[in-house]
Amino acid sequence: MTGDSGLTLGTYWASDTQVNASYTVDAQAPVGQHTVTLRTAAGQALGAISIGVLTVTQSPQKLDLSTGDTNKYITTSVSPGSYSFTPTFAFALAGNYKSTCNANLGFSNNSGTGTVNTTVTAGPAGCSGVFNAFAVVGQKSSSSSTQVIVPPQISVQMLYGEAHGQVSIGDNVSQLAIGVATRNRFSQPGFSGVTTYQAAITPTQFIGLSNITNGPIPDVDNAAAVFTSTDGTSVLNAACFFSPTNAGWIAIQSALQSGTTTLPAVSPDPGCYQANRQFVVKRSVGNNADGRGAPAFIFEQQRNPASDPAVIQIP
Amino acid sequence: MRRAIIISVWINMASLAWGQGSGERKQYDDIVRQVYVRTFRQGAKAFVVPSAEKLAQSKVALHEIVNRTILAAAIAPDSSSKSIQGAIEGVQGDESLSRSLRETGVPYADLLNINGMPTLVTAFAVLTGGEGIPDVSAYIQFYSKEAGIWKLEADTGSEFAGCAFSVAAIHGSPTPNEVWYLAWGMVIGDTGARLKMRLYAFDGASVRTVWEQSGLRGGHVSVSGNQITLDYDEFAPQGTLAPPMHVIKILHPGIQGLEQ
Repeated sequence: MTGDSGLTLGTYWASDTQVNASYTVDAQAPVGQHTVTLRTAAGQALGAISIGVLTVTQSPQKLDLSTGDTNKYITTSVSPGSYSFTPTFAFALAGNYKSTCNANLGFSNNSGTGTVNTTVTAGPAGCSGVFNAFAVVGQKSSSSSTQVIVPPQISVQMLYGEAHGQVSIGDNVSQLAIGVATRNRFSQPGFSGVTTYQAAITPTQFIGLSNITNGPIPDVDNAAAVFTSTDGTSVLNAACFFSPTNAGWIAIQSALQSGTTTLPAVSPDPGCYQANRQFVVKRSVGNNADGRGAPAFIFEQQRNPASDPAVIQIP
Repeated sequence: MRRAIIISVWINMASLAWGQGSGERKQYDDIVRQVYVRTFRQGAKAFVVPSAEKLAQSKVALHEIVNRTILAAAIAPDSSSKSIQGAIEGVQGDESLSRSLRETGVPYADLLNINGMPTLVTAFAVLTGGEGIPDVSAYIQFYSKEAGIWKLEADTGSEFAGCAFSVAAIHGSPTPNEVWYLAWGMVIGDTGARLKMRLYAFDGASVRTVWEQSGLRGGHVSVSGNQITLDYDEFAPQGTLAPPMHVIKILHPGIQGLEQ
């Protein structure tokens, strides 16, 4: 009994009516049809073996993950679909921004044929990072990777607490905008000493800080976008924000229309930059979900009070 | 409730001279420039964030300069609430709280007699960090004068750390031997602008907190004699989407503190 190139025959055994053989396929075996030849005293028979390429793919391309999530997974698909496998994962920390600690990833040990879902978890709680994770099946790595983004949980808690209600009415600008405003604190000397999300987002600074421990959608997605600066959102240099009352909104609109340099007295004004503050109206922010009839958020940035208007607006 | 801290340090007034004002001002300015960044005065790039140790030392030094200034102003022959307040403003210059937050009225000074004893109540803030959200160290001090010497009886106010805060005397304390002072403020940068209030009673020797409130969103206070007007927004319970209700309360001093 012999095999052609690429096949290495192992043991074989036979009865009067059947011949069994074991073989291995060399790693460098050409793809396609291979032949096993059986010669006996009665003659010769040919057996055909088809050698294919094992392809490994994975999805999604991007996975936003909270350190409290236990229901997010990466799907690994293998062709040929009859192949039974248990994917393992290779991953590396690609970055971590303005955070006090690096997260690590964990992967479940699920098995299956064709398609396998592997649960991804991150820890320790509250830590963060951006990772590239590759599925590996046998010796074969996935042709694609998954970017796993773990934002600091405190930013998820802030976005959820301050603006989850906005999401529920279809306003997906507010969460991104207040996240960007918070991130702006890191680049301004007026917030000296605040260099991490964990230091910036405190219960005394944010009224709506929630205590959720997982990552609801889209809150975790928005936190991840802000964390990786892929939000595509501008609040200029504003680093503070508040939700005006109706009366305050009327005063802000009046100041905006007149172009006055006198800051309107509104409530609740966080008072950042003190006398040098300017209100920024972001037009794409939705009205407050509580039905008060005023924008959900107004932003504050620094200005020269002698020359700059007290209120400006941006798209 | 925070108990006032009794300070048992007697100050030798003879060592203080009112004429030291300009030197104290320069010293204050030299120190504060190293620990407080104001964009329109100094280039942001020139500011180096100080170490925690240096910051702590600087805060102590700035506090002491203001203390010396207060005592020097208090022993001046023609001293008044206004002159003491002016002395604090003079030494702090543009780095006093009211220079950037005029509505606070801090520095504050109130010189009066309690039970026949001269007393002085002062409030001031030492600003460090950056003007985006400054690190405000708040001081509310209670002095009395015995045998011609001013004594700092209590140095409190830490509950207003980080706050834009104000202080006012409340007329008509129901306790005859006490003068009441209301302090209120909100943490700068707080998205809810939550108001906190503390009512202090001073009898010339000790200070106690009579009454307090906190967490009043968007709260404002105005004081006129013995009438305090408090307004704030009351929100529906968490998870309920309903507009806030604006609340206005007129308060007066009573046995329990401030009462409607």
